Amino acid sequence: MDEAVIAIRDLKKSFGTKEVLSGINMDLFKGENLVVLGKSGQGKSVAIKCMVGLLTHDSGSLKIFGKEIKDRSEEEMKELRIKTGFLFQSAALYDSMTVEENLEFPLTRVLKLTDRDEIRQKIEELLEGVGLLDAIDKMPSDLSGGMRKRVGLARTLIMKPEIMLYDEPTTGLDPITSREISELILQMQKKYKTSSVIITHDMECARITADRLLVMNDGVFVAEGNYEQLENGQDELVRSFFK
Amino acid sequence: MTIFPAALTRQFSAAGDQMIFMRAFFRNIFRSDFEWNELIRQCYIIGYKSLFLVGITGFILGFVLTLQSGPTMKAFGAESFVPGMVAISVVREMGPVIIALICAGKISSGIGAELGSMKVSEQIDAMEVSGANPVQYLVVTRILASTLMIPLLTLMADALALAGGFMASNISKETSLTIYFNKAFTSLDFVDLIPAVIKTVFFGFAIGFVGCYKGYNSDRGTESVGLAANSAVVSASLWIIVLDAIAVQLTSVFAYN
Amino acid sequence: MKTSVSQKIRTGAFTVAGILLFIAGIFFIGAKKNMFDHTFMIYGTFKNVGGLEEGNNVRFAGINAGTVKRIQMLSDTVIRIDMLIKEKVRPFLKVDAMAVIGSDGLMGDKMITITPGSENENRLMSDGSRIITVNPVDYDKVIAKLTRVADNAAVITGELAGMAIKIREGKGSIGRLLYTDNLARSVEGTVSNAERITGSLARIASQVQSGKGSIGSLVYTDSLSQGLGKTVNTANSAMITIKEAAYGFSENMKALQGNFFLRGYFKKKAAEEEKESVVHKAAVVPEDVSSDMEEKELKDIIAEAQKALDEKHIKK
Repeated sequence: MDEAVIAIRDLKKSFGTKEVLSGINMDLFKGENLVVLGKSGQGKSVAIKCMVGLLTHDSGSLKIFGKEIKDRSEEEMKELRIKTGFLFQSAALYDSMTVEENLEFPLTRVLKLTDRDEIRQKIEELLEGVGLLDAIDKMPSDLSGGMRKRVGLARTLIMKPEIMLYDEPTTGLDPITSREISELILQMQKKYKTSSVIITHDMECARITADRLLVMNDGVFVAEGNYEQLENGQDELVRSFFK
Repeated sequence: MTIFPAALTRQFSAAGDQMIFMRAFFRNIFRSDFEWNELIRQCYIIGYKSLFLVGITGFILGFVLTLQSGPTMKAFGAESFVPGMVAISVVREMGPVIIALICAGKISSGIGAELGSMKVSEQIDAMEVSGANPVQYLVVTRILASTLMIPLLTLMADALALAGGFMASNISKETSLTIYFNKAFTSLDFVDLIPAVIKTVFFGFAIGFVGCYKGYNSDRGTESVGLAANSAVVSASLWIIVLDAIAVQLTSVFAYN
Repeated sequence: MKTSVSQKIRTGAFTVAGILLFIAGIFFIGAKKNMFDHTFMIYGTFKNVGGLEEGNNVRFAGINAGTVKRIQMLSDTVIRIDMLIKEKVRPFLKVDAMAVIGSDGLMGDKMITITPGSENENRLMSDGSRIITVNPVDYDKVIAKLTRVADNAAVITGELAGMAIKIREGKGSIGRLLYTDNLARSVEGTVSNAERITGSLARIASQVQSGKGSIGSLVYTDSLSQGLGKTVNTANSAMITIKEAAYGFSENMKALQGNFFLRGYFKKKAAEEEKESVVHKAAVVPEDVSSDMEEKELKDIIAEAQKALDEKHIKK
């Protein structure tokens, strides 16, 4: 087995007196799609935000590409973030910018690209990939929820990340759009050969995308396995997701 | 533990938080890849777009001040001092403070609401996660734009206030433009103009800083956007008054002596 | 969002306009402070600058001609003041112009007033010249003096007030004069007396004119002059009698002296009676008499006679 790109050991995080993560252990291996299942408010988003340094964990070890996240300097953190893509639940498009500018933003500011043609070509390629080339000059407020997710995905993927973190990619979308997004995630994963962590409570999405699943409850992982294993498992809690 | 541990702790942590935010702002000013385009865009929004509001305010300020002080000064037989008095009071105090308060209402709340909504909709997080520097892109440009534009807006308001004053004094009696401006500028001194301009730089900084801080640190949830905008106006106005008091003290110590 | 070209232009125009306003403000204010005029520097030394400050105006013949640039203490009694003077007034600023520290009105700023030099002076001030100075009036001293004056005035007015009170009370001559009725009455009486006196004087004058009374007759009556004439005549005749008596007396004296000898005194007398007129003369001219008598005797007799005459005259 390949070395884990993300290795989490006994990670703890509390807000005030409330312990949200009570010691989680997780490994993400290169090229796999890891789906984290769990009810809302169980600390899934907190865990994923710790992985990109948006939140700082209290104790435990969180190694990405073999290096502890807390030990990284500002520059190393920036490098890590270039290699890591994060798709937010709300897509988090910059609503003062057009779709094109949204996609251009990380290219010019993070990758420091200056060649207009190269930038344009990259943007068009990504938008074509998510099927929204005709929306290139639209403002985010003119887009539907699904389209926003696609643009968000395109904006994240334009950096060619090695790790993709999806925070509830299908939440708030109708079932058909959800399936489209799920399939898109799988498609992109195959195309760009990323390792992904997908947080969701949408079983359809999990079924489509998951190579491996983890089930979280009360700040710890309670079950692990592929879709079929968990669907046929004996645990009441785990089984409740599949109903 | 102190008598009011919770309240004090909250105050101290808020003050410390603001200091950290300010340090982040200053560290990001001198970083490479300065966001010139965004700075110009913010200057356009903060400066140019506020020109109408500020211009009207300034014009009416001078107009009203002249009309109001005219009869009183006339009673003392000092009607010829009205242009000088209006010029001094507008340039020294009324212009900077009133324009800053107006801009606190317009700009601080605007920045607070904009950054607040960006925070709530995870745009700031998205920026950070993508490896871009949201402080550099969002905060530095806005604070700098407001620091640069408020003095310019105040100067324009001052000029328009003098124009308003001229119009007001022209209603009651014929005064030539040259005589009016000659009188106004004769009574003005550098210690009226320069400290006032320096003061507005700090007002501008306070407006931008408070707006950015409140927006950038708003909680999740839509209601916090409104809260951020509101508290930005309140804090910025308070800061302007406090800074003005400090500025007056410093000016009277260093400039008028 | 990208910054559009029009936004850039507008922002640029806005910024330029604002900066231009600032520069214009500085220029307009500075124009009043000579900052952008061509200037030259002169200096003067004072013992006391009386609160003058840097930036105060310098007036030449009443015109704002410059500003105080620097105030420098050279020693405890010498304070050097550098003044920036507009180049425009230089052709009129002669070397004997004088700088005085004054103030603009009672409450106004301190300033330096330069009074123009004399008419026949032709040399002009140049950059870095020293100007003649007159030390300012020390207002503290003036105020001290004024305080004394005020104190004196207070004393004087106090006394005046006291006087006024006394006058009102009718004390003292002025008081009585002003406020007492009996004085007025006596004054009235005096006046009426004076009137009466003048009336009687007038009458006297008219009587004098009409020759009545002694003065009247003295002045206006002929009989008096006649009387006087008579009196003069009588006096004359009295004088003659006196002379005769004196002669008789001297004769008696001679006789008395002659008795000592008893020799032919009566003989001589008889003989001499014939020559009476000659003897009469001899009494007046002693030489004639001396012919008959010894000189010393004669002198004694004459002295005795004169003594007797004087006594007689005094008795009269």
